[in-house]
This record gives sequence, C-alpha cells and structure tokens, in this order.
Amino acid sequence: MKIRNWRRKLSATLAAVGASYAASPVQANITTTLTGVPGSVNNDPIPANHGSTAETLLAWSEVLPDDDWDQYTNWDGRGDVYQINDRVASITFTPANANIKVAIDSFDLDEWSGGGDTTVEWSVSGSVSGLLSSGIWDDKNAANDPSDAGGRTLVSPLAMGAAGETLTLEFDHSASAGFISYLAMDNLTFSSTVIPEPSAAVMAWLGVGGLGALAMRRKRS
Amino acid sequence: MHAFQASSREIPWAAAGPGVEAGDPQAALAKYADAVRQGTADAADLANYGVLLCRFFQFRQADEVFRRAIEVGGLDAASLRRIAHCYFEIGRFSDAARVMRVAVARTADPDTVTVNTLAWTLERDHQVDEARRYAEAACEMDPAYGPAVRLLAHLDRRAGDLERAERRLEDQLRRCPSEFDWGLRYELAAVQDRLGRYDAAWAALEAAKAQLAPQAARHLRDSQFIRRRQWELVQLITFADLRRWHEAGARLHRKRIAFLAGFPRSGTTLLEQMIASRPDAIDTDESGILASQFVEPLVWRADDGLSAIIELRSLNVEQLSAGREAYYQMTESYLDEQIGDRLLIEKNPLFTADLALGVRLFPEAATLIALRDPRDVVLSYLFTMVPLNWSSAPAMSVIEACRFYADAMRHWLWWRRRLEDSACEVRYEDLLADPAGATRCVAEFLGLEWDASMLDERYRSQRKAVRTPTYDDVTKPLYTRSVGRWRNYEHYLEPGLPLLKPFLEAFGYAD
Repeated sequence: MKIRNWRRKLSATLAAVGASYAASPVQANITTTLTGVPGSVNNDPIPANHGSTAETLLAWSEVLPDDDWDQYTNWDGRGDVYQINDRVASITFTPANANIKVAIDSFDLDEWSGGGDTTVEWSVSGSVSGLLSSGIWDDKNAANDPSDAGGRTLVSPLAMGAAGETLTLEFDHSASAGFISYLAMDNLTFSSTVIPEPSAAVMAWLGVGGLGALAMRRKRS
Repeated sequence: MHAFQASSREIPWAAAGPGVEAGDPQAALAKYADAVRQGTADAADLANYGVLLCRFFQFRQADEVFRRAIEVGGLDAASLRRIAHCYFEIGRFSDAARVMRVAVARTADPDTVTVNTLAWTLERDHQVDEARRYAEAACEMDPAYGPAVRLLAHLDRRAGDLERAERRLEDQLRRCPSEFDWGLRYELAAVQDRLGRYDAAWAALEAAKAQLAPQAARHLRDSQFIRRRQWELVQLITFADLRRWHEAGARLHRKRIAFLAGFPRSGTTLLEQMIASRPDAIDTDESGILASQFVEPLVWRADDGLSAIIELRSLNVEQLSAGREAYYQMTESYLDEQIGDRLLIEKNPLFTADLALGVRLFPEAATLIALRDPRDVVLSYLFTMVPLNWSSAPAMSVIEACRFYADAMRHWLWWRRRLEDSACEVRYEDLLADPAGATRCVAEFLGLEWDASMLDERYRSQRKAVRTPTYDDVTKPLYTRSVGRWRNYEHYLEPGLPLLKPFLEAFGYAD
C-alpha cells in the first residue's frame, strides 16, 4: 500500500513536469495562517513579532500613541481578528535567510457593522522588487453595503518576493470615509518557500541542472 | 535585482515521492529499479521510471524501460506522448514516431493533439507523406486546431508550394482565431518571406510577437540576468587565471574536443554537420550538457560573478578530472555511442558567452566561432520560431534581439584576443562561396583530414537527425539566398543597427 502511494505521488510529479528537461529546483513550501493571538484580550497590542516562524520573521507596525494593530476577540460575532487601529498599518515579512522566498497568499478584511463607507487600499511591496500586488477593498463601502451590515471578504494578493527579499503588506484607509477601528484583518496566510542548498541529492534531482558540477564539488568534500 | 528562475515549473516538494521528499532522488530511482526487479512495476511505473532515467542521462536504460512499458500496455495517450517527448528531446525522432503510432493505434478514439503529435514526429523523421496524412486527419477532427494547420503549411513550404501554404494559413487565421495564432503567423512570415512579400512577412512576424509578448516578459528578465552574470564573470578573468588554467590542463588526460559557438543562426549547424562527416569526428548537436550541467549551477546560479570566479579558480586537477569524466559519460549516454579517440565537436551557438567554463574545464579545447553578417544573423533569429526561454525571448523585438547579439558577441571580442592560436573564425558567407576552401581551413585547424564528404549534402541528410531549428535547411544543397537577406528588411531593422555597428566592423562586414 505504501509503495503504491509513493508511486502515485511521483507519478503525479513526473506528469506535471512532463518530459521537460528544464532544471527544476526542489522546494519546500511552508504555509502559515494567522488567526489571532492566543490568550490575549480585546485591545491588547499585537506583539511585534507575532506569527514569526523559523523561516519568516514578521514585524507588525506600531506607531504611538495608538497601536496600529490590536487583538480583538469575537469581532462582531466572527471570532478573533487583528483590528486595524490606525489609518496606515503594515506588517513586514523578512525571510530568515537568503534561500527563502516569502509569498503573501491571502487575508480576510472585515468591517464591523456600522463601519460606514469603508475603502482600504492594500499593497504588497518587496524591498527589492517594489510593488508586487495592490488593490482597493471596497466590498463594504456605501455602494456595496448600503445597509452597512459589515462583514468580511477574502483578498488574495498572491504576491511572491525574490529569495531573501522582505515583503511589506500595508493597509491604508486614509482616504476612507469609514470609521477607524471598525476594520480588521483575519486569516492572514503566507508561505515560506525554502530553496534548498545545492546538496548532492538536490543537485542530482535537478537531472539536467548540476550533475557535472556535483561531480566536481563532491571531490572537494 | 531579478532572481533567475531556470525552471518552467516548480515541483511541489510534498508531491515528489519519498525519495525526493527525503532529498534523495536516487532513492526514488532505486525504488523503481526494485519494483522492476520484483516484477511489481506496471506500465505507468515503467513510464515514470523511464522519464526519471532520462533526467539522469541514462538514455539507454530509459529506452529499454520505455519499450517494456509499451509492451506491457495500458498506457494512456498522454503517457505515451510524454515518452515520445523524451525521445524527441534527444533527437530520436523515429523512436518518437514509433511511440506515437502506438498511441494512435491503441486508442479507440485518439484525440487531435495525439494525432497531430504523431504527424510532427513523422515530419521530423522526414516521413513527410505520412506526416501530411495525419496532420490532415487532425484538421478534420478539429478544424479550429491551429497546430495541425501550421504543420500542413510547413509541409507545403517544405514541398515548395508556398502559395498554398500562404492561403492555408491566412484562411485559418481569418476563420478560427485562437491562442495559437502566433504559431500560424510565424509560419506565414516564413512563407511570405520566401515569396518576396517582405512587408507582409514583417507584419505577420510583428503580430506573432505581440501575441507572445506577455508570456515572454519573464523569460526576458531571465535573459538579462544571465547575460549580466556572464559578462560579470568574464571581466573577472585575468591573464594569470588563463595561464594557471592552461598549466593545470597539462596535468589532465588530454581530450580531443572543440567548442563550436557563435550566435544562433550563424551557420553553426551547417558547419557542425560538415565537420562531423569526417569519421574521426563526432558532434553533439547541441546536447546542452555543458550549459545545463556545468554553466548553470556554477555560473548562472552562483550568488554573483565573484562567487563564480572564486569557485572556478578553486577547482583542482582532481575536481577537473571528475567534471570532465562526468561530461564525457553524459555525452556518450546522450549520443548512445562511445566517443573513443574521435574529435568531439561540442556545438552550442550560445556557448560564446560561457567560454570561461569551457576553457576552465577543457583548457586544451579548440574553439571555432561561426561568424555571419550580424544583420542577417539577427534577422534570421527574429524569424525563428522556438519555444520561449531565456535565449529566445529577446527575439520579441528588433532592439532586444540586437542587444542580445551584442551581449553575446562582445564575449568573443574579449576572448579572441586571449585564445589566439587555439581559436578559429569561420565565416558563413565563405562556407557558401567556397565550401571546399573554407572546410579545408577548418579541417586543418582541427587536425582532421579533409575530404569531399564534407561538402556532400546527401551525407548530411542520411546521418543522424538534427534537433535544432535548421534541421531541414542543413540537409539541402548549399544555397545563398540567406546572404544579404537583411536588406529586404533594412527599414525594420534600423532601430537596432547602431547596436550591431561595432560587430560589423570587428568582423569585417561594414559596408
């Protein structure tokens, strides 16, 4: 049973790459979804490094006098969220080393009922690449939510940085006619893709990507 | 900074089998081998095992495994297409066609793609009548399927029926616009060029490139990254490096090897075929082994040019010997024959910009550089339809194409002052005007005996298949219509000509 399983997996992989001879780095992909700060209470500031992983270090912006980000439990009946407490708030994602690429996959934006005519500009930019993805969230503005019932919708930036590049996710509702602090984010999902060092095995898997170099490097070790 | 991505797709780690998950693909290979030994491998396992073997350059074993997979039976058309593609990639077109015949024969209701793939493999195997029958069948199955129409037009062009090819393509573009229009337009441009309808040809070419441009952007960034790295590296090479590298070469077991480079569409394939007609020479037909196995990991994927030169400088004789042995093993596997004492022609038109690696690994190598009027080179490059990658993406515009030429050939201007007697330039125009004289010079430079077989196109058409885009041209008698062709498009090429001027002068093509 077990052997059939690996065969199916490898079969799927080989089918996916076709008979392509292009070198394909083998990568480990670690996905993280943040859904709140366990054990905190309403209006506790979000710890600056909340959500950091071994691969990616997060830094939540904090500009006094108000915290940019607060914990909020049971947000309008929808559980724990990250309340956006200032006109501009951001999170930076710094890869732990130069072999890691970070991607911002998705998040929910959520307006508390009665939040008013809310529009938020969001963006993901890379420290090297510049702007990677951006958009305006107006799902709960006056036009789209005339009864001002609030609620949440999913945003999927699908922005990936280069290896070692720091990404910044920023929310700006300076131009919004909605009420500050009626906006929150939840289910922040990001991925860290680890590009392995060119170990012997990985170089070998490349097939056309390094058997010659591997033969020489082996002699060195 | 742009991070270079050589791969067209990424392999999800989790879906790559336990051997790969553990960082050990050799284990995956061993598991397949065990399954084969124990008789538990089914046809799909065998097919996957064969693909994996190909990735490890074990083509002979892969061939045996593929044959067994087909004997066992039960493979679907997609799996058979994958096997055919493996054969196709190493230039074994008759084997590819054999597999695709099985795919068509064994499937109760073969799909259009499968039938047309059979037609393409037959065409590459020069079985043009049968190729036409299957392409027509694919067209009947799905009249909107552009690739089949393109193949029929290509067959018309091969047969010299240019008017028919043009009508066929224009009719298809009018009736069935599709995402493959770019392919039809490339073919149309080639046909109209042959018909002397140069403005129409250029318009077709531009329309094709406009459709491809969004997909090409990523590859163009890769291209620029690679070209910067290549130039960064070469500028770090000192005369002392070259002296040390040659001294190290004296301690290595000497090989008979020559690099044949230049730029795509400079006549490298023709020259290679002429040299390889000698029994004491053998050619690689752009196996890509040096580039993919050595240059990419050691140079393109290095952190920077400095890291690359440090690694190249650090290689000792033992390491160089190991690299050379690996290269010869992979090349013999690819060629499916022993090289022995023959002169190995390592042909890769784009190797000009990676000669640093070549000189480091094989300091005793001779270097042949194919030269041709840069304006004709760029024009031909612009007209050539090849899959999008780092080396074809610059063909999306005249200026980018000229930049690419300049970026590659400035390496030759750098190397020609350093390689001196171990290098030889061969002008394509001389090869056409005086083939006997030009090939005599080449033979003498390479230490080969000249004979008239080097001029015989029948030999070129009978020997092994040619994988590169010029596969049809090189089997024909030499023709001169490709000389000075750029003048038909001078107006369109004008924006890029200043970039070519230094090379026109350096290579003796200035008007």
